[in-house]
Amino acid sequence: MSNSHLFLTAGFPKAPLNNGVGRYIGQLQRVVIKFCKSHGSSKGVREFIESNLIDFSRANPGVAVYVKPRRHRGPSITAEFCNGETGYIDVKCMSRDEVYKWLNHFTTQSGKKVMRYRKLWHTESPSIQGVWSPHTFRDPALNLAKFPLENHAGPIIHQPSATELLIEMFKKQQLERSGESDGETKE
Amino acid sequence: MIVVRRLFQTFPTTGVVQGSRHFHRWLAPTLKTLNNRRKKMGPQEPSPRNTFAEWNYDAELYAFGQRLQEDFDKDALKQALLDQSFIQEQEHQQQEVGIEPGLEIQDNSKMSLEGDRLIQLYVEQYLSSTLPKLPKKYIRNIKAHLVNDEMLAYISKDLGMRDLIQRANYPVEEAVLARSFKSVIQALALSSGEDRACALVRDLVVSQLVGRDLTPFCTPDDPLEELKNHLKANGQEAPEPRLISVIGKNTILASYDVGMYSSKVMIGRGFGESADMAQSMACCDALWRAWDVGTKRKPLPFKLELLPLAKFAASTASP
Repeated sequence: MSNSHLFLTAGFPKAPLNNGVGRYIGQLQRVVIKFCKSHGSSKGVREFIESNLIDFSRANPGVAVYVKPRRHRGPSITAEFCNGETGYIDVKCMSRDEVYKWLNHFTTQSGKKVMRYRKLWHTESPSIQGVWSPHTFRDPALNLAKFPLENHAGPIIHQPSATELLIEMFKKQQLERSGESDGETKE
Repeated sequence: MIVVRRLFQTFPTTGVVQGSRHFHRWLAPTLKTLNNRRKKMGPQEPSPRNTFAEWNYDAELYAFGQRLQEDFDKDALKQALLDQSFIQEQEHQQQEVGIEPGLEIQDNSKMSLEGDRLIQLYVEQYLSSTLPKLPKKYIRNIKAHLVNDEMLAYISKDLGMRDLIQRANYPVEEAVLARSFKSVIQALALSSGEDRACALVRDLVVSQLVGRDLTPFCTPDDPLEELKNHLKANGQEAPEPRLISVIGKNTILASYDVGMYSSKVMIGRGFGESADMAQSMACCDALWRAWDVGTKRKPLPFKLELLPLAKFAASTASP
């Protein structure tokens, strides 16, 4: 996290209105494209309006498109989302494709304000087997026990198992044998 | 140096070099004056979107229908978004001018009543089909959570209906938003049939239950009595509480673990800071398990197709 992120609101990703659980509802509701009819900086926008705007409108019938020519002012795109938020982009000197790209970018947005995601996923039930409690895996025999218990006072002393005992005996035997054979070679 | 001074004297900086590249010395004073005037006027009311130059109501209504992937009848949708206050305001304005008040248009108050009936009925049908074991009383609780002005206003606001509703006051009140949402549902029922309207209610209203814990809606006042009645009705033995374990007894962090048994089978388990509390929690747990509303229930099916609403209405009315 950098300093520029300090004042961002933090949270988890959430679709507006649980969008997509039932049906998907596009969140972009209208777009206003402003441009100049003669200025060079609006060339890309003018080309876009001539050749791509009808296609965009057909592909996104849920978006109301307004085109607003204004003399000698820079071109811009204002997007309005269902939640009332707006997005703005200055498309000065952009090519036709770039304008198309930014317009399509707005169709993929929800309009929510930029947020620092604490995680990229969220769940209301993080544990499947249940949250741990002091009762989890507790020996039921302890219910009838009378305290203090002899075994439960002091540290747990590890008693060697039968296998460990056998291994120890075997090692001891090996040591004794090697000692005997050493003695034989010396003589 | 003298030459430079003379140059300045002969070509004074103000006014002469207009249009050329220069420091805009007029800019800051202009902005300051504008700002002072704005301060003097005081805070302004937010202007509604339909007062902007770029506003085409017919195009907006069409786009709204397309966004919801529905084909609305234009007149029905227009009426659904026309609030009573708008007509009153218009008539008042006519009176002031001196025209006999009388408008041909109708508001959405009647439509919203019919839409409300449809939403209530469908939500009840959906809940009683997906949670068949849950008693009617608790289904009504969940329904009340889904179908109320607050929830419907929240949905209609997030659908972008704030700008589309024709009304007198701005910002729009909660009740107006909710009424318009109900009317839109009724408008859809009129334009493309009740089934489509029900599907929209399922996708917008019922889907608000996704990932939601249902147990707060299904908590009885007297859990032990409710459990006894439930077991009796199903022909099972009476419940028997047993203490599974106690931890931290006589401390403020005491924790009791109680299991509810019926014919030696554990049917519920609960924790609490006292034995009574743990027992009532265990009763609740047993009931939630029996009703399929606990934390381990299957998720609700949000793509479910149900029987026509008329059949359900007839079946609930007959008994």
